[in-house]
Parts: sequence; structure tokens; C-alpha cells
Amino acid sequence: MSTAAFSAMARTAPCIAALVLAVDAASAQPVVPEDWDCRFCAFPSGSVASFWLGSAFVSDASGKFGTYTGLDDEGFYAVADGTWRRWLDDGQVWSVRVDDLGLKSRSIALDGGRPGSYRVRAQYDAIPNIRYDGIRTPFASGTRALLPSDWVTASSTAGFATLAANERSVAISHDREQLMTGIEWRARESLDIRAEFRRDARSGNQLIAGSFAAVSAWLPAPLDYVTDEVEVAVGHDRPNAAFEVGYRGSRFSNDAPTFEWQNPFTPFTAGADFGRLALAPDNRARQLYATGSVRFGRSHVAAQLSEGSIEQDDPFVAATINPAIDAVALPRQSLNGRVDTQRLTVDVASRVSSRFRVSARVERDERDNKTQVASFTRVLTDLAVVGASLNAPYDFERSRVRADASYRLPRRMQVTVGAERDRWERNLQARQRTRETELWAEVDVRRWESLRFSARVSDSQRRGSDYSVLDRGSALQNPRLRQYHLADRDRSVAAIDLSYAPVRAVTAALHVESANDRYSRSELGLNAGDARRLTFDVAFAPDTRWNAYAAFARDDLDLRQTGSQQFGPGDWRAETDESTKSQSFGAVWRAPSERLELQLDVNATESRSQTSVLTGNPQALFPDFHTKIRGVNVSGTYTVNPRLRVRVTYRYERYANADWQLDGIDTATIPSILTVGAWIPKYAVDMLTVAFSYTPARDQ
Amino acid sequence: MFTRPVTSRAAGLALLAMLSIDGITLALGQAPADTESGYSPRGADTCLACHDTGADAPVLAIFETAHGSRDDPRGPFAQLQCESCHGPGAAHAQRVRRGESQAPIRTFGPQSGTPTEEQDAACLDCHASDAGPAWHASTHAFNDVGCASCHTVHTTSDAVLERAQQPAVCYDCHQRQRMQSTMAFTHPIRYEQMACSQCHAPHGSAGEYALARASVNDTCFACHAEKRGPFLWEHAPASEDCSLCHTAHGSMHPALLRQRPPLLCQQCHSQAGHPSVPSTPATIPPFGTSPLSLVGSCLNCHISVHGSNHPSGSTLTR
Repeated sequence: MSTAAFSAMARTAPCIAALVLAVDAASAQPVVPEDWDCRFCAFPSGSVASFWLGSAFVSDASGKFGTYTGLDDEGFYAVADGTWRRWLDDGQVWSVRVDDLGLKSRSIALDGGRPGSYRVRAQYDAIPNIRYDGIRTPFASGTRALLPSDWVTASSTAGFATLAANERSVAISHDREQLMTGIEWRARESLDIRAEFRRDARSGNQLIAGSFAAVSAWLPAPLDYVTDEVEVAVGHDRPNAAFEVGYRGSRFSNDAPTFEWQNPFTPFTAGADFGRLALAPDNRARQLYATGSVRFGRSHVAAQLSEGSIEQDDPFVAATINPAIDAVALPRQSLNGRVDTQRLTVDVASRVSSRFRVSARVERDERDNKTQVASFTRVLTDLAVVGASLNAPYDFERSRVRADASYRLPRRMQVTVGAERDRWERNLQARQRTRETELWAEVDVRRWESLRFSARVSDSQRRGSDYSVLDRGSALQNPRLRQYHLADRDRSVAAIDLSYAPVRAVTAALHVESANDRYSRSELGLNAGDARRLTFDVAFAPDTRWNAYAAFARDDLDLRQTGSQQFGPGDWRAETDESTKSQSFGAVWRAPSERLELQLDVNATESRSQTSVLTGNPQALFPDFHTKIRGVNVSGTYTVNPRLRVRVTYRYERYANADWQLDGIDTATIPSILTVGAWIPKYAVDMLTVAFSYTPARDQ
Repeated sequence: MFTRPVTSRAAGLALLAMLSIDGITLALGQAPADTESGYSPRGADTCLACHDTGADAPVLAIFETAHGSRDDPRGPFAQLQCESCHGPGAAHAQRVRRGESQAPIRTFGPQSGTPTEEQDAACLDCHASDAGPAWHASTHAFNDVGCASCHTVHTTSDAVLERAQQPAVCYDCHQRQRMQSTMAFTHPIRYEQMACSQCHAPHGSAGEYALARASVNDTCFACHAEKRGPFLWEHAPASEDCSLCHTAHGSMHPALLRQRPPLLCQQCHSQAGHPSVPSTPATIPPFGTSPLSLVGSCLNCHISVHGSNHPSGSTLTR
């Protein structure tokens, strides 16, 4: 932590604490009359439990359908859910909940304690993640991907004579397990202490590419991550103030930090038979934070300060594993990398009067990369020494100021205006400084309790310091290029919202938005982006017996960019038009007897992306990227008696896609890349679930 | 996957329609009011005479929750019972003649006649630490999205605190995010494995977009710590802001990318010796098989796009 950060924190924290104490005021509590004996109050005691047991049948195998749920195979699955809760005489309440115990996506949660005194929680979640059902590869799995002994190298995939005979199917997936335990303790009146421990473990495999200059192979590589995180915080609250300080520490470890593979191609240079990748290095992060807020009459001031660091010091792998290349000396054996981060936010919100309110926010965000710069001799993909490069530890400072003012006019009309100034200062980038100024205004009108209309417009401009080409010892960028997040940009946004509730049972809402970005000074790179968004939904709830909803949403995005294949002025343009539309509707109905409940949900979402490229020849139009998901979920729950319920659920989901980057690309389709035939197949899956719920008699 | 058990807005409306007492409540069993203190004569027993299991909006489930505990000295039922939150109810409990309206009482929810500020003050009397110091300056608070816009009290469980049900509550207003959650590539929200509040702090935060942590990247690194680095060779946009390339709520492109490579990469890269070659239809089957266009495009070689710790990885190929 920098001295400046310490001193900033040291200065701020006592100020907040002092304000907390200074403005505290005791509040008088009315005395509860003695005869308020709460005879009709149904205070629970003993324990209550409920279990769902049953079976589900899935009609087809699909990794895409089964990702996150574990329903990836055709066949039967067990349904096992349950809850148990117990109220003890001394006020403690404990509960256990299990969900999807019969699936790979199971979760178990314990929650308990004495309300107002302490709370203990523990939760375990398993989340399967299936990327591809089965890729095809000749490589053996493990941290060293070897080819079969009869492998015949060639200069292109067409020459891999033994590829077909050696292809085997490998699923690309990993299982994620998350464990969280935590305790919250109200140590004293107005003093809260909480502590949490979280573990996130992922194990399985991933798909990565290993290249030798112009040839490459996609490979199944191991994935074995564990992230542990601890958080401890102490909070103090008074009627007019609140204050919290906390510490968060996180450690990431990767049990497979390197990965080697055998070169399936005929090596370009002697010795380039194997390549090695450095995968995610172990790292650790910590953060101290302090937040506080104070109320002064009708105003609130809140300040939040966080200071942290990220460190990484994994040993470097050798610059190459090519035995034909002389050993390359490294300037050091590990990175000893460290990034300090600081963030300070101050918010002020004031209801100056019943009509006038203002808010303002000041932010400062800093990433200070203390990693040393050194020159590293570069071995081009384990083939040959090609020079040296300097590492470029990236720093930035960001400061943002934002203010809103809102005034309530007669006739239930409200006007809000605001402004924001966002400044960035970056090192080692083509543009050192950018600043963006945004102005906006909004009008909000309410009529007859049932109608609300608002319109908002905003306009922003991003400008900055001179743009220059960086020379870091590798290929230079075209000087006409402007990276889109650094480039001058003019952005205008207009949006309207309308909500209408003609009667209590019906509400409808409409949102329409248009946003236009212009990068008019970017000769190369992104030139323009236009977005149009629309959402509409209506809900109908005549009584507690039934309700229904319908929703429609559409997003359109048009992007235009220019490139140069001759390292000169722009000589090609690309236009991408994307759209997504989604419709959903559903209803819930309960029989007057309360014995039967029926539910229906239907959803259809379709996305399409079309790209055209103009190179001087007639416009060339790609096929579409296209995804379509349709789903229906129908369920009925019948209460046989207070102890027994039965639920039948039918679910149908259909997924269709067209992806010309992946579809039909076989392992040897691309001469210079050994691929794995990894594409996401279409599916249509029916799933039927029958489950019974048993609720034992309440144990008093 | 598409289950949306009960539209929370619809259910909330139904509940509020019942609880926003405006004269339709039956006045049976009501006792004379304690006009001196303003509180009802028998506390919760007065209220439950009407708002019992047979009421259109039953409230007895509150006793299954922490709000219904007598053992929490800060809880409503260790204090003024229903009137701890709803305020003095003597006038409201008074008998009315046919056709007359019941006197109003403090009610909760976006359609309540009680000002949001007053509703929230009642909640924050006990829940100041739960709301956190940033609440009053938060976007929700500034826009009158009060506690009861999202939270429900008279139910066995508060939907917005349940991982599986929370998104439906948020989507009532954040409709675009609902659409995005149904796209082909998403975080596992619609699979009930993740809640909005794992990334967002609805009570306000120091971060942008009401993020739970100080910045976009801090929030992403909470689950994707392998991308945290610092790396020997950094990809500066990845170190600065994950959302420059990724979109969090849903995408039609794998890895939640904003756009496909190579066009996404070519918005920032056009290098000497590695020119910005256009990917055209002539480069894909049946006309061609360009590695720039197909499969991973730029990632066919530059696989370490989040940064590399390999001494020879300056171009992110190792």
C-alpha cells in the first residue's frame, strides 16, 4: 500500500467515525401497552419440514441443455429437494435446504441463529459447465498433450495421414463447486460483525490453442483452479449515521500452471517439436475498505474508500523448450508483480425541499502497477529468437464527477438535469489522457395515479490528448487507427418510458431507447455504433388466485468499422447488424379450493448477426450468425391433503443455431489449424418430471 | 429454464391492492380506538381481526419470518407489533359506516399512498446496517425505488432474497436484462445458479452500475480470479475494463463477447507486419478456409488475450 493511500485512509476514516458519533441522536420508543398480548399471533414453534421426491425424464442428450443443470444425458434423473426449519424456545431458528440433490447442480444450505443477535450460514453449490459435448482430437489429455506414436507430421492438416484413425472424443467441461460459510453477529447495540469464507473450485478441462508461428492446434488442456476468499467487516450504525470497515483477502491457485503439447505439424525449425504455454498464474489480492454515511437533516453524505493490491510471483517458465535454441537468460525468475488499487467515492444526496433534490458523486480510481520493467528476449512460439520486448505495466487514474438536480413542478411533473465529467489518464497507451463530458435532462410526468411518462436525452463528447503510435519493440500499429475506447466519440441517447395502470389489476410498461455513437475522427477502427432498444410488458393480476404476464423486447445494434490491409489508408469497411428479439408470456392460476395450481411459461428468443465487408469489389455478405431458443414450461401442483402434494412438470426447450465460424469445420478443414470439430449442436429436449411432496406433521 | 414462477410485479400488485387500505376492508371485530396515543387498542390482535387467514391478503406468514419473532428486541413483535412498521393504527381500526373510507394507515410498496421516504424510514429504523451506508445516495433511493418496491414482508420468504426468485423481481424494472438472460450465452441466472446481487449492490455502492465491488474488473475477478494477473504481458483493455470486450447480461456470441473476432479485435489492432486483413465471405467454406475467419479467428494463435506470464508471450501467443 502506498504511503499516500495509507494517509488518505487514515485521514478519512477518523473523520467519518467522528461524524458518526457527532450526529447520533437517541430516538424515543413508545411503550408497548401491557394488554397487547398478541393472542391471534401465530408464533411458530417446533419444527417443520417438507420433502420433494420424484423422477425426471430427459428425452435427448445435449451438453448445451445440460450446462449449469447437469441434465446433459438422455434418461432418468432423481428429484430430491427438501427444507427443514426449527424454532427453539430461546428464539433460535435453524433451517436446512437442499435443492437438486439428484443432479450435478445440487446445492445445500444451512441458515440459522437468533434473529437480532447472530446468524450462521453455510452453503454448498455445484455447477456443471459443459462447453462441448465431444470434440475430436488426436491428443492425449493431461498437462502434456502427446500425439499417438504413429503420428505423421505434415506441413498442413491435409497431410495428417493418421489423423482420422487417431481421433477420439473428449468432452470439454468442468465442474464448479462453491462453498460459503459466514457468520453475522450483533455484538452490541449498533455494532455488527460479519465474517465470510468462500471457496470456488473448478476442475475439468478447457479448450485452448497452441501455435507455432503460422500453424496452430486446438487442444484439450487441464483446468484446476481454486480461489479462496475471506471477508471480515465491522459495522456501526446509529439513527443518523452508519460506518463499516472491512478486509477482503483472496488467493487464487492453479494446479496446472503450464501446458505442453506436441507439434502436429512438421516443425519450421529444428527442435520445435513441442510447445509450452503459461496458463493462469497463482495470484493473491487483498482490499481494505471503509464506508460511512452521515445524515444532516435532509441531506446524506456517504464516503467509500478502498485500498488494495494484487500480487503475482509465480516462477517463470523458460523462454522456450526448444532444445535447439541456446538457453535464453531471463532478467528475473519470476514477475514479482504488484498492482496497487485505490478507489475513493464521495456521494452527497439532499432533499433540499419537498420539491427539490440534488445528488452528486465524486470518484477517484487508481491502478498503480508497480511491476518492474525489463527486457525479455523473445522466442517466437518456440521456433527462433526474434529480438526482445519490454513489458508494459499498465497504470491508470480515473476521476469522475457527476451531479443531478431534480425539481418537482406542479401537476406532478418532475424535471431532472445532470452532468458528468470523466477523466482518464493512462500510461504506455497510444493516448495518455481522455476526458468525457456528458449532459442530460429528463422529464417525468404522472397523471391520474395510473399514468407515468418520462423522456430522457443525453449528449456526451469524449476528447483527449494527442494520439501517438507506441513503439514497444513489437509490430507498430497503423497511425490512422484509433482504438475505440480511447478515440474521440460523440454519443447521443434518447429514451422514453411509459407505464400505465388503468386499473389496479393491470400494469403495462414501455421503454424505447436510441443511442448513437460517432467516432468521426477514427480513420481506421470503429467508426459508428447505433443501438435501438425496445421493451414492452404487461401484467394482469385481478386477484391472488391468478395472474398473467406478457413481455416483448428487441435490441438492434449496427456497427461500422474501417480497416487497412496495406498498412495505409482504409481499404475495407465492415458493417455488422445485430438484432435480438424476445417474447415471453405466462400465467399462474390457483383453484378456489386452493388444491390445484397451474403454471405456464413460454419464451422465445432469437438473435441474428449479419456482417458485410466492402473491399472495393461488390459488397460481400457473410451468412448470418443465428441463435434461436424456444422454451415451454407447464406445471401443475395438486394438494392431495395437507401432508401430500404431487407436481407434474413438462418442459420443452429447443435450440437452433447457425455459426459459420464453427459449423462443419472438421479437424482438418483449415490447412494451418488442427481443430477439434467443436460446434454446438442443435437440440430439442422434452423433459417430464413427476414429484411428490411430503410434509410431516409439525413437531411441537 | 424459462420458469418465472409468479410475476413478482403481478403478485405484488395483488398484495398491495389488498393492503393499500382504501375503504374496502371489512370492519368486523374492530374495537374502539385508543385516540390518545394514536395506537390501536389491542395491537396486532386488532389488526388480525381483519387481516387473518381469510383475508384477501393474508399476513400471518410473517410469523414464520424474522419479522415475526418476539425474541429479537429490535423486531416489530418485540415492540409495537404491526404498528411498529405501519404506524399508529387507531384511526384506521375505527368502525366506519357503509360507503365511508377507512382512515389511511402507512402502507408499503410502489403504489402505496405513503411517500417512499416515509416507508423507507420505517424500514431503516431497524435495517440501516442491512441497507448500508451507500443507500441514501444510491440510484434506487434517488429515483424513489424504496425498500418495499423490491422486498416483501408478509410472506414466508422474501423473493428478492432467494437466489432463484430474485431475478424476476429485478426484471420487473430491468426488462432488457430479462431479455439478455434468455440469450444463447449468459451467466447462469436463468438456471437459478446465480442472482443479480452477486454482481450488483442494489442498496448502492462505490462502483459504477451499482456493482457489488469497487469496479467492473473487481466484480468479475470475484469469480474469474484467473484473469486477475498481474501478468508479465498485459492486455491493457482487459486490465482496465472487462466490459470493453464482454457483455455481462447475455450475448449471442460465445464467451459473452460483444462482437465476433476478428472484427472485435480489429477495432483496436491494425499492425505493421500483421496487417488488418479483411475477413470476407471468400475466406470461408465453400470458397476458402482462412484461419483468420474461422473457429477462433485471432484466438487461433493469440490465445492468452487476458494476459500472458510466459517470457516469450509478448504477443499473447504463449
